Amino acid sequence: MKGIGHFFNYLYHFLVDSPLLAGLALVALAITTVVALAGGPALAGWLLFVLVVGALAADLHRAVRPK
Amino acid sequence: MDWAVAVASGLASGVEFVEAFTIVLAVAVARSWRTSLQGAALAIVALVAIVAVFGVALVRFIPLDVLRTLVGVFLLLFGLKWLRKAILRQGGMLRMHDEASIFAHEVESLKKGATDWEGLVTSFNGVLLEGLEVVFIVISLATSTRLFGPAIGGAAAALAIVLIAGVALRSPLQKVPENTMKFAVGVMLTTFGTLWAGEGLGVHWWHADASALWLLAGYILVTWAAVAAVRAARSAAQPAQAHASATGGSN
Repeated sequence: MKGIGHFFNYLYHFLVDSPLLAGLALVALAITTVVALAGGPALAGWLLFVLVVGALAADLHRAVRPK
Repeated sequence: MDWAVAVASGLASGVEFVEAFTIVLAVAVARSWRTSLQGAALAIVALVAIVAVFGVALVRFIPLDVLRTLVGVFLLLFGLKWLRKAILRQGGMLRMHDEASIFAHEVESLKKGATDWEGLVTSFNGVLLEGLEVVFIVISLATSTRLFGPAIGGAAAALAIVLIAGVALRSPLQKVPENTMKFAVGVMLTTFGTLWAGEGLGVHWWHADASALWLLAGYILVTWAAVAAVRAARSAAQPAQAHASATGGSN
C-alpha cells in the first residue's frame, strides 16, 4: 500500500506543478468529451484548444498577481 | 508525421539527457569516472528491465483509443507544466535554470561525503529518474503513433548529441539554451497531448492529424503573447512595489 502511495505521489509531482492548471485542463477535457458525445465532435476540437488556452491564461494570471 | 515524432522525441529527451549528464559529470569530477559510470550503468540496466516488463505490456494489452486518451492526458499535463515554467522564467517571474550552479552544488555536496556509495547512488538516481522520463516520452510517442523507429531514433540522436557536446565542451552544459528548449518541448507536448487526448475522447479533428500544425501554430502564438503579458505584469508591479517601499506603506 505504501509503495502504491509513493508511486502516485511521484506520478503527481511528475505531472503536476500547479494544481489549478492541471485541474482546469482536466475540466477542459471533460467538457470536450460531453460536447463530442452530444453530437459536436468537430466543434469539440476547437473548444478543447480554446479551453486549454483559457486554463493556461487563468493559471498564469494567478501566478503573476501581486500577493 | 515521422519527422514530427522524431523531433518531439529528440527535443523532449534531450532536456532530460542534459540534466542526467550534468549529474554524471558532477559525480565524475568529485569522485571518479569509474564510480559515476558504474551508477549510470546500473541505472541503464534498471531502465532496460522496466522497459522490457512494462513497455511490452503497455503496447499489447491496452486498446489504442484508451492508450491515446491516457497518453494524451499525460502529455497535455506534462507539456502544460513545462510551458508554464518556461513562460514564467522568460517573463522574469522565475529564476532561469542554471546548469553551472547545479553542477557546483553537486560537486560541493559530494566533496563533503565519505564513501563512494554516495557518488554511485547520486549518479544512479540522476540517470534513473531522468531516464524514466525519457522512457515515458519515447513510449508515449511510439505507442500512440505506432512509430517506434522515429521515437527511439529521435531520443538516440539526442543522447548522441548531448554526449558528443558534453565530451567536446568538457564543462557543464550551461551553453545549451535550456529554457528555449523547454519552450519547444512544452509547445510540442501540449500540441500532441491535445491532439491525442481529443482523438481518444471522440473529437473529429479538422483534416485529422494535420490539425497538429494549426494546434502547434496556435500554441506558439499563445506562448509568445503569454510571455509578453507576464513581462508587462511584472513591470507594472515593480514601480508599485518601489512606490510602496519608498512611502513606507503597502496601499
